[in-house]
Amino acid sequence: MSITKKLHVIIDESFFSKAKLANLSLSKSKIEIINYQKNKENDLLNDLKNKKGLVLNLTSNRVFCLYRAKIYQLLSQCQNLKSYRSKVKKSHMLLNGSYIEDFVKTGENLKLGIHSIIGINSKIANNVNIGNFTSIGENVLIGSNSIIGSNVVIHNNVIIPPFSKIGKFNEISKYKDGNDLTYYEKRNKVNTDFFNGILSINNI
Amino acid sequence: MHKVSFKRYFDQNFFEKENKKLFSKLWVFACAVVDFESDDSYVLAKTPFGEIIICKKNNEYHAFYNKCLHRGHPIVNKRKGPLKLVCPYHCWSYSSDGKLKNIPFGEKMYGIKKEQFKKMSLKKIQIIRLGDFIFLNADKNPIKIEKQFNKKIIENLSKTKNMLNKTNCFMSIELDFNWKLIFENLRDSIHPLFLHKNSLNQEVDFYNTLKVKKINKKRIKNIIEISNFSRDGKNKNPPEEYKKKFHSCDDGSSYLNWLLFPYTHIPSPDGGTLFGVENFVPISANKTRLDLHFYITKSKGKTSSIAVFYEWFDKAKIVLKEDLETLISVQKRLKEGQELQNLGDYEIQNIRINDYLNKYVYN
Repeated sequence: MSITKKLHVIIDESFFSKAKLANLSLSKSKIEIINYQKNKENDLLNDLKNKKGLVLNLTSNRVFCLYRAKIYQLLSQCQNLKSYRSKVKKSHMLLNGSYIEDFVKTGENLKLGIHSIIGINSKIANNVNIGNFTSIGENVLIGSNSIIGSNVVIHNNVIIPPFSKIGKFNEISKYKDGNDLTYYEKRNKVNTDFFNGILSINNI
Repeated sequence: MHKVSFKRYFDQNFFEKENKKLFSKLWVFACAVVDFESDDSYVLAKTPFGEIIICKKNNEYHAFYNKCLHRGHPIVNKRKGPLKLVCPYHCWSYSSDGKLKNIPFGEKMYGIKKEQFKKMSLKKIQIIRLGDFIFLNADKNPIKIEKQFNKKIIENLSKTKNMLNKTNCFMSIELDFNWKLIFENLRDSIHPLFLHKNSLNQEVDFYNTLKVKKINKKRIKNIIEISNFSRDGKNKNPPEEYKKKFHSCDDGSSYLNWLLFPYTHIPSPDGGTLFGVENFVPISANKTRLDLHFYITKSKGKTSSIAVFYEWFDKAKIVLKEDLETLISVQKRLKEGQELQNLGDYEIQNIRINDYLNKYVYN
């Protein structure tokens, strides 16, 4: 990753943001980290309005309220900030704010949507279409001619076969522990800051 | 000015009388039809009168106590699951209507013949469906639901029939205050202007509800006078984009409120699309469990309801937190001996309900 202007990186408190920040191969003098806190969009907007240069949105899109999409809306009001966009191959169509991490191998005709991220060491085959605000994890393999919708999260080490279609808002992860039969049940539970309660989402 | 004695908010003797004469006699909210995972499944409802298993089979619902007929061990532990009612202690099994199906080594070890145990059944509870919501009554001869909830409440709840989406959210937390405090707070029409000035009051026009009405000082004679349904002002904001994608049970713009005595509050902030069922289940005089259910109506197309739930929960938790934290501090003061005094005319319904409790429950 090489840049000439200063890069403003927006992160939140999630592990996703921390991991992405650790993978950034840039010297600290070139980046400025901006912390986004829940329900404080106005503070973030005031902070961003005075900035100039490039901006990279590394917030998680699976913590409440689809933050990445929210931040994209806020950035449209900041005229002095340009979204960082990765450059890999000519045949690629990478939209505003799309970001491909280091050591990613991509085939031809990749379409990557607004503020979507592809994680380190992933391999993307030819003719893959990825929607907006989607996160592709690390070491992910996506087969050719696959279509992945918007706001999708594909976790680390997942293999997507060729000609797959994944609808919007889906979350795909590798079956981590074959012995833990309640694994999928636990996945539908979200820890909240509301009296430390656990919100469970049923019959998805 | 009016005054209410503070002891009823933390004294366990008062709570036991409430449990005996109120919760065990009245219809209480248990769950919604969409909580059942499939046609052959159960939902476990935790009520002040015990844990109740609600079974669904062939679109029929049965409810009974979660106590094995042998040694009273709970038959199920999870909140919901497939219909396999087998007590883990000695493997006694039950059918969907609560009848005893089998006892391992029944004749040999227990001396119970098959013909005998087939007549045995778990203790049943009365069940009724209003719209897509299910209510329970633990009384042997329950009052008619039309005598507990007025026509307006039943009609508006019935509009939800077959309207709710299968995807729903649930949360359960324990709170340190008496169950009556939250309902007195919900009947308080002034507090949103001050306590929720930066949250709920920004979205709903509560000044509309402040119109001076005739003060009704008559004593409550029937339980039907306590619960109510209201439309609390129109939303100030234009309808959100997602609402177009879901069916609506009502006008789609008013703030609908069901206050169901004894302990259920059902708000629908957008006129019948999203339903938040706040079941404030009394545990003891000082403790209340909030079972928070979020339901949404069926979508018109392929719309993900999960994102809407997240958005809504983020908004709702701010308002609820403001209310609940206030009540926790009020409960602490009550314990220290602070009387509920200087109550205004606008709180007359709360005072009337306390008079009703004095006469019919605490005596």
